[in-house]
Amino acid sequence: MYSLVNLTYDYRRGARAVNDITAEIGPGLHLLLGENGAGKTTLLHLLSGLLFPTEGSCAYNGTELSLRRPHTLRDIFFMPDDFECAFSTISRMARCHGQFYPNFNYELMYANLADFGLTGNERIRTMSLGMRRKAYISYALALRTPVLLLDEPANGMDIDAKKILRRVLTRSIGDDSTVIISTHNVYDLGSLFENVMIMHAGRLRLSMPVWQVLERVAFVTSPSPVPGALYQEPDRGRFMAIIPNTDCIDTDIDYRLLYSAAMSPAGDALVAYITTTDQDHRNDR
Amino acid sequence: MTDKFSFRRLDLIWSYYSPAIMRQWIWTLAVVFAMFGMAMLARLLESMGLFSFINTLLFFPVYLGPLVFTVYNDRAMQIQLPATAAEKATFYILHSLVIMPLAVLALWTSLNSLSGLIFGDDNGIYGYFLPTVLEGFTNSGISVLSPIFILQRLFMELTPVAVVLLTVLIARRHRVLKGIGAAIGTLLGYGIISGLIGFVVAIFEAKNVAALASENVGDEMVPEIVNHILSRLLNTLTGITIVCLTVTVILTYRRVRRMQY
Repeated sequence: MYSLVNLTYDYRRGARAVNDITAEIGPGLHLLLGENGAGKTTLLHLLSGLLFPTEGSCAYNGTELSLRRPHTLRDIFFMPDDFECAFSTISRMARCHGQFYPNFNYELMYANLADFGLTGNERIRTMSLGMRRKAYISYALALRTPVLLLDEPANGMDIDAKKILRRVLTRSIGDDSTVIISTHNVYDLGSLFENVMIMHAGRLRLSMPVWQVLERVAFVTSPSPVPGALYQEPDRGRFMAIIPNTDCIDTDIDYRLLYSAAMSPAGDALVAYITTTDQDHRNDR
Repeated sequence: MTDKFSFRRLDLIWSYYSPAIMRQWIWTLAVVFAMFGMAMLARLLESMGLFSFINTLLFFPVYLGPLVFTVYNDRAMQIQLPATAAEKATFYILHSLVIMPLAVLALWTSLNSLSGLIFGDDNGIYGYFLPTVLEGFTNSGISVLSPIFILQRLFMELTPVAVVLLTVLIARRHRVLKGIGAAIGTLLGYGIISGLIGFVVAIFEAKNVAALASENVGDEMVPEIVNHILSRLLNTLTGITIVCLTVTVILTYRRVRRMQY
């Protein structure tokens, strides 16, 4: 369990990348959304201990990450967007690096690799970007760390590989694992996510379970503008809308629409509506 | 898993770097063999100049030993390795300042013994050149067997290694170039500092220097005065080198502990 208290990070040039975030992040598959420069990658760096907070604290199971305690480090693995493997093959990497992680599972790694059509003995230097990502993610998932942080894991992958990625993720992630995936391609893994986090200008604008979001609002499509919508936008002759879920409608979450809504001028009101407690809603009614 | 220093984790760090280190050893072996070939050539040509040049070059594989940590462009992995900063720093320092120098020294000594077998003990590479080298030192009043001289030489050779290690840990880009630059810069800096210390010692020893220059001193006194001045110079240099090396090692540990992505 992560505990972030007033977490702030400033770059040396003075730019504030992460601004006063206070949140608890528990187990589950989290989708981290945000515009370019919102601070998603910096947040992942802070969550993995790669950066030290300028202000505030970032603790994992009660241990400050900036202390870089071995027992904390072995519980967390972060795969950056520009991750580069230092070894000639993934199998070699597993032999030399996997030993640090007590839950590392060779069978799982080879099963993941096989799903992607790889053996683990391919020369990494000769692989394409997409192939490398497949190999790295197979390895990262096989480490079976309680926390896995992935920055744009599907980058460079073809359509089939993205489908396989869903399967591989489902197989590899344990119930108690915390997986945070920062991606702009929200449809790749859409239905897998259990929690959604939206960052804007260094702040965590929204962070809550998907079921709670769907309890508050519904995502509907209509040929005409939807009266009383919290947010709506035209899309190919139809209107995509987010409406209060007062009638307990069962809809699927549309991450793209939610993200657009959160970034729009109506974003503050929408986020306030979503994050208001059930009791508050009942009182309003 | 405790935070106490763990040799098991040190072993795991070795395992992580082992492919790169193995490659480095193969390269070092090749370089030392090439040097040995050149030293044999110097012996055949009886060229003291070439021999001195080779002796200088021989230290470069040691100076540049820390470059092995630049083979992996993996700062994220390096920081994330589940080990304490002390364990990581110990590994970097141990490999750069102890294992590599000892390995090169052992290899060179073995090859020299081989040359003794080929040419006969007195005519092996060192057997042939060493008396000339020793004579040079003895004439200048330095005892090559004195502990202070050995200590000074040891620390003098290790300081560039420590500086290169610190440089490659600090640098984010062009780490190899910066590492090579650091090695050359340290050697040049050492030369300049030695010159400055020589100048300062000469000021403090003005009376003795003037006495030597005035030719009023008897021949039997000259070596004693020279030895006194050189001892002072050597002691000062040794002290400064030890301080430099210690500070660089401490900075290396701090760097590993505070390294960010």
